[in-house]
Amino acid sequence: MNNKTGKNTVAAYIEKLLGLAWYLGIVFGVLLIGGQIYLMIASPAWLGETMKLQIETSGLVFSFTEGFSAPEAGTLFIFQFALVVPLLAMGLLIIFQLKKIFTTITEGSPFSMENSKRIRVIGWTIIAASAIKALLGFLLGLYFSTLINLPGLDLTANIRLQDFAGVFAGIIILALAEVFQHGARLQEESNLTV
Amino acid sequence: MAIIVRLDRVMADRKISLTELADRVGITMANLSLLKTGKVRAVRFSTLEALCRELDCQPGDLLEYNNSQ
Repeated sequence: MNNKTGKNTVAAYIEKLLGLAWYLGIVFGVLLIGGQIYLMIASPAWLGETMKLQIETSGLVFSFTEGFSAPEAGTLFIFQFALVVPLLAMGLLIIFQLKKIFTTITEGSPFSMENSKRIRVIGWTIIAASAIKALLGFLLGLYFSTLINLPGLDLTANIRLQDFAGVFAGIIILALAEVFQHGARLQEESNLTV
Repeated sequence: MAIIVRLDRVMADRKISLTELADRVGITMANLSLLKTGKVRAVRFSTLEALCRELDCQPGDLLEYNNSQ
C-alpha cells in the first residue's frame, strides 16, 4: 500500500507553510494593533482631524472636493479597528486549526473527533467573519451616505445576498465536519476490530 | 458487553503463549491482547477462522454469551 504520510508529503509542506503564516499573522497583528495604539497615544489630536474623501475601485478613484461633510479620522479609525481586529483574529484561528488538522494528516490519523471539532470551529468562524464583514460594510456605507450630499447623486447603503457568500461556504464546511465525525466513528470501529 | 471472550481459557488448555498464537494467526500481539481482555468491539470472520484453526476449537469455545451482563 502507498502510505502517503510522513515528512515529505504535500500535507507536511502545507503544515509548514501554515506554521509560517501563523507566525507572520501574529507579527502583523502585533504591529498593526501596536502601531494604532501608539498613534492614539502619541498624537491624539490626529483622531479629531477631518479627512479627504476618496472612493477607489479598480482603475478609478473618486475624489470629493466639495459637497460632503468630511469624516473625522477617529470615526474611520473605529470602523477600521472593528473590522480588522476581529477578522485578523478569526484568520489566525482558522490558520491555527488548519495547521493542527494538517499535522494529523501528516501523522496518518485525520479521522478523529478532534479534527471534526476543528473543522466545525473553522466553519462557524467563516460564518461569523462573513457576517461581521457584511454588516460593518453596510454600516460604513450608511455612514458615508450621510456624509455625501451632491446634487443629482443618490447614495444608498446596500447589503446584498452575495455579501453573505462566506455564510454558505461556512455551512458547506460544517457539513464536512459532520462527515469527518462519521469518519471518526468508523475509524474508531475499525481500530477496535481485530 | 454480554459477549465474553474465553480466549485465555482455550490458550491455557492448549498451553500456547500470546506471542506464538499472534505469530501463527497473523495479527499483532497488541491486538490479540486486546481480544483476550475483551477490549475489542468486533472480530473479523477471518481472525476467528485463524484462531479456530490454530487452537483446534469451535467459535463457541472462544465466545460466550452471558445474559446477566
